[in-house]
Amino acid sequence: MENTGFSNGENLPQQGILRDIADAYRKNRMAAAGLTIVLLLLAGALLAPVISPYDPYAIDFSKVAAAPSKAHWLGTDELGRDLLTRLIYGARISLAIGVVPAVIAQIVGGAVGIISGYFGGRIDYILMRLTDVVLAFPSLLLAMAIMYTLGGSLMNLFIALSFVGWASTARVVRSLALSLRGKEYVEAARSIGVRNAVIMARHILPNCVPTMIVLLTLSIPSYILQEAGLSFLGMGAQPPTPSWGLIAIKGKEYLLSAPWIGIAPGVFILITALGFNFMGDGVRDALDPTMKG
Amino acid sequence: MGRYILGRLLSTVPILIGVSALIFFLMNVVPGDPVAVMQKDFIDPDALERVRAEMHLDDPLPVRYARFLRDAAHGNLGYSYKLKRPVTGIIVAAFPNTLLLATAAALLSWIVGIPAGLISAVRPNSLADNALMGFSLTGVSMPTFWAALVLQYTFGVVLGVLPVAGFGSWKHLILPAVVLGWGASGSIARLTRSSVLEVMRLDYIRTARAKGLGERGVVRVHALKNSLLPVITIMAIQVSSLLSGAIVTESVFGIPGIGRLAITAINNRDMPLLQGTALFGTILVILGNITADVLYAALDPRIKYVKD
Repeated sequence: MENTGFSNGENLPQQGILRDIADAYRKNRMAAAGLTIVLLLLAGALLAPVISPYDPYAIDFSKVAAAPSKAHWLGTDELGRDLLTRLIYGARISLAIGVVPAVIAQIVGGAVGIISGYFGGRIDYILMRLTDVVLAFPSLLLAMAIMYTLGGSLMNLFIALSFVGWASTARVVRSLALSLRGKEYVEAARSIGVRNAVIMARHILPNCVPTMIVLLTLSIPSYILQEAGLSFLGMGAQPPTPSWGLIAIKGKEYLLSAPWIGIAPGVFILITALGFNFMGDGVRDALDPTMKG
Repeated sequence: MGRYILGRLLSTVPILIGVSALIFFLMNVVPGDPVAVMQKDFIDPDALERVRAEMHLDDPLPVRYARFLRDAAHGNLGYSYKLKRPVTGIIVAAFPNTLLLATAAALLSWIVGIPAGLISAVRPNSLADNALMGFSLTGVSMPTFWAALVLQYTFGVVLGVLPVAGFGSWKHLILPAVVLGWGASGSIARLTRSSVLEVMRLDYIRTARAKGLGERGVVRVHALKNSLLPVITIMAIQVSSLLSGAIVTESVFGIPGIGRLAITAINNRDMPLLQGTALFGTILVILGNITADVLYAALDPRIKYVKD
């Protein structure tokens, strides 16, 4: 666990980040395994129409809730649709639902955090109280309330999960920005009359990026799990979208007669979240060895 | 300390107002009339108007919000459209069930998570470490509902030793507590591990080793206390994730707690009930955070809250 470069403060060129990540993956087998899972999943999502043998929406009442067999490796669901096919297509949704809100949350949270930490004073106070409000909510409950307002759809899930997620990033980035704003080079920039917006973009932001990348990777699995939970409660994606959480709802009803319907999507979610978590641990060790837990 | 706690409690008032405003406006921009929900088979338009006026639904939003705030400050969270009882009473009745579930899960997560993290940290990168951390990460990565389904199927259906769902005896509590506690034990184990590793690098540990103290003594006497500090604070902050997890767990196992109320509220467009549960959940999270800070100060002599 040697410090591979920097934890905060020093302005390193962009390729430094990539090299650090590559080095860490070479050394860390778990992270490499996580990366492999994520890449496989990405390939599955992109190639879904090519590799999956059936149509994810094709209903076949002659094969309702059939047990796993040679023709249907994971069996069929309550409408006779091939479960494996639907799960492969579901990878598209889960990846999108993991990555899109994570990126939006980093952008919004990063902006709020930098502005708050850099300016301090009244702006900081107001922005941080807003952050407190979001953080004080049990996250799933807030996401549920937003889904209640907006209605269940994939787009609304993006909105709800981003809304829930930005605040924790804002907190972390704010404290970083707060320590950066006292640095000599920031003071130097200010003394020669560089505008605040430019200082924040050129001098504060680059030093927050490594931390934000770590937060981004580590938050992806939590969004995937939250989507699964929301869809499972009927407040996320709507049928017939092949969302993993949505497929699993039926599993609850068919627990006695066709347990594979509930269990298979969970395995996919578990493996995906594990993959991202392993990968995220690797990114964290590479970019920010001081950040743990 | 007393003044500090009082100050912290007072400082939550603006947060609560913010939270209540957020919930109130989220709920009220929804099209769909609560009166129509209440009186599904009741179509006389005059009567609907009368009920709406009685419930003050015709007033402008800020007026209604002000009324809601005033009532909430008096402990009156309104009247559930669906359950047709005061929300405060409903929450008070449901809370002990959630508290029981969450407490059982939290205890489980500490009993499993702390020793697991400790064993991992004492022999980093050993087989035991990898196995335990794999188990922890699985706990963190596992969808709650899935763990519930798998355990229900294994213990309820195949083995038939525990009830599949329901609430009442201690037997009903085992599966939900394991489901909810597993994920939490994963994060506690990971945190304990990194925290112990952190402390083991410090100078005073080197001193302890240099004076000839055995590894066991180093960990037990010197490392453990300091490394558990962040873990204890995480325990208090767990409230938020336990509550989120309880929503799903209660739904799968049919436990009549706060989480189930939230789902009932959403499925029936029951605004006062959702508002009430959300506000109540938030208060619990804030209390958890304050507890964490107070514990931290009480346990770490380096941290003192300045009196002003």
